[in-house]
Amino acid sequence: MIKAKLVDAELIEKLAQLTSGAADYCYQCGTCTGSCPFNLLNPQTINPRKIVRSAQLGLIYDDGNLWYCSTCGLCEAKCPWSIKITEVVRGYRLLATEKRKLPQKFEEILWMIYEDGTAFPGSSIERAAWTEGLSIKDASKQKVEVLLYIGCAVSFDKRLHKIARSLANVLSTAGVDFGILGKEEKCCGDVVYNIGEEAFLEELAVQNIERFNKTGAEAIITISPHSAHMFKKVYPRYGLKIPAFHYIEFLHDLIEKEKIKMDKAVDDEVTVHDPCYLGRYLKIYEEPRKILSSIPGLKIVEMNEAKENAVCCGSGGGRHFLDIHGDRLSHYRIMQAAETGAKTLVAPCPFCIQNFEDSVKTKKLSLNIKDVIELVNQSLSRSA
Amino acid sequence: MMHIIVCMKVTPKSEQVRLDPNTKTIIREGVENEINPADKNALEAALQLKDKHGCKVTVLGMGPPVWEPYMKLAVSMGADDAILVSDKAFAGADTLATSRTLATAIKKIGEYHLILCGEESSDAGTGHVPPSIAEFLNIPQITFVNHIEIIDGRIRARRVLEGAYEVLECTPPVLLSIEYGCNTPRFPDFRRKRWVDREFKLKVWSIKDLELNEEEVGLKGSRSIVEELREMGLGERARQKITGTEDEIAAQILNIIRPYIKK
Amino acid sequence: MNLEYKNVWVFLERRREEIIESSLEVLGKARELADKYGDKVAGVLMGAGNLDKLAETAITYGADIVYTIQDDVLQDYSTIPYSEALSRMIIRYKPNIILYPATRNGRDLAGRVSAKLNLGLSANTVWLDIVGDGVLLAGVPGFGGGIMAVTKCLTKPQMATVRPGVFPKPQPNPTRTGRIERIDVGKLPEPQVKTIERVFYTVEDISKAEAIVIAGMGIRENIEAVKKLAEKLNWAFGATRPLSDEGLVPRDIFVGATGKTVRPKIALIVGASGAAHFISGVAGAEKIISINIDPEAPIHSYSDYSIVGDAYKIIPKLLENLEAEAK
Repeated sequence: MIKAKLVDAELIEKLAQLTSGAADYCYQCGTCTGSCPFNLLNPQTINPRKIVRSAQLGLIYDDGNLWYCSTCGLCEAKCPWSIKITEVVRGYRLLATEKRKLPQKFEEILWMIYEDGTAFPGSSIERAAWTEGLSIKDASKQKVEVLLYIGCAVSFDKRLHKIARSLANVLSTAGVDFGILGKEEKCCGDVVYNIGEEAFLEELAVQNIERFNKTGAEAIITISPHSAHMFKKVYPRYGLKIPAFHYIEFLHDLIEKEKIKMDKAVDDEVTVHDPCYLGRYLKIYEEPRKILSSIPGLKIVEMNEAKENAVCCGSGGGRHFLDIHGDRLSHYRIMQAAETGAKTLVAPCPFCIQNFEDSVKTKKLSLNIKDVIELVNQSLSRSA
Repeated sequence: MMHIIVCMKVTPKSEQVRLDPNTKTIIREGVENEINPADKNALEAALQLKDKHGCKVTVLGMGPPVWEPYMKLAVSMGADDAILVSDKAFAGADTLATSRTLATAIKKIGEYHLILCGEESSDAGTGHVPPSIAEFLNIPQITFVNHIEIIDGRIRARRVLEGAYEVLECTPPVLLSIEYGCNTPRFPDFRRKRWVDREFKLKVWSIKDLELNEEEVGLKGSRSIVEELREMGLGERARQKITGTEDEIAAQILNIIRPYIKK
Repeated sequence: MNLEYKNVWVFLERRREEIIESSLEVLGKARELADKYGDKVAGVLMGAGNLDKLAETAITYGADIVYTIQDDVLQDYSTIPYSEALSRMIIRYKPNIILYPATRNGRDLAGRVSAKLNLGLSANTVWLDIVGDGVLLAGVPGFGGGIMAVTKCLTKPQMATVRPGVFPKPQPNPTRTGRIERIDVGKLPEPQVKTIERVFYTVEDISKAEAIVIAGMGIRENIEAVKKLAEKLNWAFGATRPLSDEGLVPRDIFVGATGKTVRPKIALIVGASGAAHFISGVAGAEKIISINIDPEAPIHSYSDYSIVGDAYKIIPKLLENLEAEAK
């Protein structure tokens, strides 16, 4: 017997408000569920169509898999109406978080972000540990033109320190006046935004914006596309006026203006992974390729699922922090990369790199994982 | 309606604390504070009882004025009231003086049914304050509790020991010390926090308000003192490096451990 | 010697019909302290039935006197009757020092007695010494085990709780003699806390292990291999705190300042970085071998043999070699 569910008009209204009417035009074709990459990994199935339908009907959506979505946006890219499905997911998460019905792990992460200023385990006094041996301007003590925002993952993961160091070197060589907040740097709040903890996000953003403003910076560059997205698209609501860029955009600009020269050959064959929050969210597809093309000796091959169709590494939307065991999307993605015959997989995103590095170890694949900046740094001409 | 008082301490983040090798004192500069983790569990236990039975929850701490934002954070988490007992005279207290001061404050608060404390603090980690408070209040105690129920006005607690557990029952008032990690402390409600930050007035009591004299509290009221601080001598080790291929390393390890293999 | 307060007392905690190991460890240390300044050691034993046999055991472990208090209300540990009984004993006999094992019951009791009699109390001590005429100095670890405070009590008797597993259990000497005194402390209050249920379970207590393999986060994807290794070697298996926090291993086998202290002859530590709070739990090991892929991990400087390498590759190889040798 089919049990009828009660439709809640108030809930329809509330979700429409929260998501700017995202669910309105959906006609239930199911392309989204068909294309969701997580449905390749049983049993972590996600049903985006059902989530949107529930929003249309004012039904409560309290299925645990609401939290499995990495907000990668592939469903949105495939949707014939370009419905903002990830917004609906966030809307439901916000309502669940209000009632404190969120996964326990997220509650712990929220505490960590509030108390230690980081989403990744690490002591705030070690946040600038990656700078050892380098002399980088402390933007919390002196004014800088450009604020380089490192982010939690890069600060506390030794593998990712290389990315920060490469970027710092390239920026110095290009004569950019930049600095970092170091110990004063706090989490950008991407996870908080995706969990739907709006009130905390406001406090976090306002405090961050104050810190940024004090540096006098005229631009903010980030290493993570997630931070870039936060500062570009979300922080303006809370008063951020300083323009923010992902380092790829800034780097592309530096190369066009010939502020850096890459003349050392890098003999490698690479394939490019488009991180969800750099590609689908910020529409930055061409710049990484243009940068890589300027490196002498480097060959680029493309995967079939590239640019808008890139398959998520599995980490966005807070998913990185949920301990979901078993098969991982990044295992799948590195296989796709290996199939191109490339020796190196390039991914300009710290989460992607963490996942791919783990996957090549687990799958025992001999594929190098690099960020764009690491290759640029390798090729950098030492003369100014 | 039951009244639960939660005793809270604010402690420095353990991993940031260093000893100054010259002065042999704790370097406090630049060290961040946090609510003592076990006290967060105690507060969460109180709030769960509040959710279920509608109790009133008051948070009580003895410390300097810098503790104020943490006391208020407890209210943001859901506590109804917060009192900070603060006075220069309370400084340097050992667990005895601390317990006496807190017990006096509890008596001043008035009627209560349950006192919850974290099992121990992350700095000194003595675990002695909860039993001492209970003794000063002349009420029963149940320590190392990881689960609480209220049944017909009686407190039923699950107490965890080494290699055993007990289910114990007591009529209030009773003091419970809560096992670290036995629950997930709820993240504060930041909408409530906005109100707390703007409107909530923390009660601050001095030694006069408690009608105690200086000999009973702080350093003067202590019965044990710290003579000196030492970096924990964790022993000099040989530090011999074993290198080679994984095969070679495995073989060398086997050589070292072979005499200790038990049949 | 100050004759007003004398003897070193040890609270002998019972678990059913036995004196717990930690109390025996404390007895051993009490003996050493008493011998240093020429005093006697007295055990305090409470229970419902006849305690003579247990008292005799305590004598073989170093007690000169064992005071036994027999009362139905003392059958199992409960704060009010136990603290009342002990307090009356203290007032009557005026011991110079009282040591308790820093077990949960021991700390429950010591904290209560401290407030009852207004006595200073050193907590969770890992180091004890006597200076002068029986003045006790106690080392109290703090801040996750990185720093130790040397404390002194300003009152007598001087009291301290002693961390289990730090001092060795003494060798019993069956020829030792001593006396047992059964004491009547008067009517004791009934416990106000009623026991509904009490369940004992046997726990593999790794703190007594002579040899141990400890797994850390660096081997979290293959904890099974480390467990298998421990089985093959017939060694105890322990873990670091983060593994326990993540629920990957049970809570009672993690080694560290807030977990178990181990004093094995040998410890093989796999994939642990060597945080201070972990090291303080394993510092008593005679020999430490560590494997950690990070050359800068602090564990290397706390080891006798240090390997910078991939535990995920080395442990399986070690298992292979062991199996080959077994044939």
